[in-house]
Amino acid sequence: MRVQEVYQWSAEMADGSVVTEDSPVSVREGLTDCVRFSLTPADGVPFPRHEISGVRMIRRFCRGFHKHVFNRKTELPGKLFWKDGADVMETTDDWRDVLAPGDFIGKGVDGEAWYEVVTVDADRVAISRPYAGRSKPAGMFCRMMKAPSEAPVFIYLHCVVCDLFRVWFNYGTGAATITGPDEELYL
Amino acid sequence: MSATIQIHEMSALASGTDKTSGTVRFKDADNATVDTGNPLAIPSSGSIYSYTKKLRAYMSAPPNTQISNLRWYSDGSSGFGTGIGVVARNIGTTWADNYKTEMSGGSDLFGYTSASPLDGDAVDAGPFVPADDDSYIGDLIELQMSVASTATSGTLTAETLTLAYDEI
Repeated sequence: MRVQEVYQWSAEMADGSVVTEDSPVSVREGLTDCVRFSLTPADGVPFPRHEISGVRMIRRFCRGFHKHVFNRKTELPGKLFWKDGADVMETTDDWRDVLAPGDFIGKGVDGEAWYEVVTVDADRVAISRPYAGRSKPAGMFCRMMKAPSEAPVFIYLHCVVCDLFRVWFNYGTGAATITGPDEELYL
Repeated sequence: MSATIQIHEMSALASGTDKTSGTVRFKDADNATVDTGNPLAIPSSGSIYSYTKKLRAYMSAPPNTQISNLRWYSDGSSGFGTGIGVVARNIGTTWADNYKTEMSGGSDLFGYTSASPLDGDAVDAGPFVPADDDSYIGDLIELQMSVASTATSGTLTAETLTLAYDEI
């Protein structure tokens, strides 16, 4: 399920009609004469339902944020010496201030696997399973990279602009944030 | 249905590689391959520059009504350390091949923040509608990394570039 599909919105107008994302374009943005605005979580999503009523609503829109992480993979400061099928790789220096158990290392090439670091000693790194490199023969040094702890993130907000405030609903957490009526929220 | 917007690393005005969940790696080569080749070596004096990178938004699934207000920004604080910088600029919809000489007209990427972003649709202004499905939207954003002799080797802190857009 995409993040954008976590919630479904609907707006009940003063004449009793209900507007949804499937309604005609002309009515989808404006919330003039809206008496109730609802965000209902999709089946199986453990987020709260949100409703706004009793205030004058003006319009609604959504805002997406792609958080692209630069330098996701950091190159290790030297080479590792591995033997085909080995789960212990020798290092050229003491990397105990570079790697820690739980880090992931690998060639960093698209399609290549990452290997979890189990232990780090003064002259070697043990990984969770035997290394199975495709491009290097056994007995060779190879340069590897450390996977980042941060992954790219996509955040999706639904904003309802009201007379005296804005409400921002976060589709990733189910939380609501209230700001001033003209305040933009950028994460 | 809501739109799906991707970040692409461009090789031509309307051709690129989806890097939404991938890696953009500054290197001493003009390609989008993510590997350990062509690293940026710290010079003995002065600075060296990576090949420029060009990013652009791509609509892979259309919105119900429109996409607008594309903007790019950082967290405002570089963790890359001494001697390493990244500059960025909006080059509209005019394609030119990537290069490794110093970029002119660019500004510090970390000067672009949520309060003062880099406009992502100044030329290809939109709004972008369902008819724009499966096409590139907004402007080309050009970036380049510089490495000075004062830089230190080793691991760098990961940094985040945000693409934000509005949808109806």
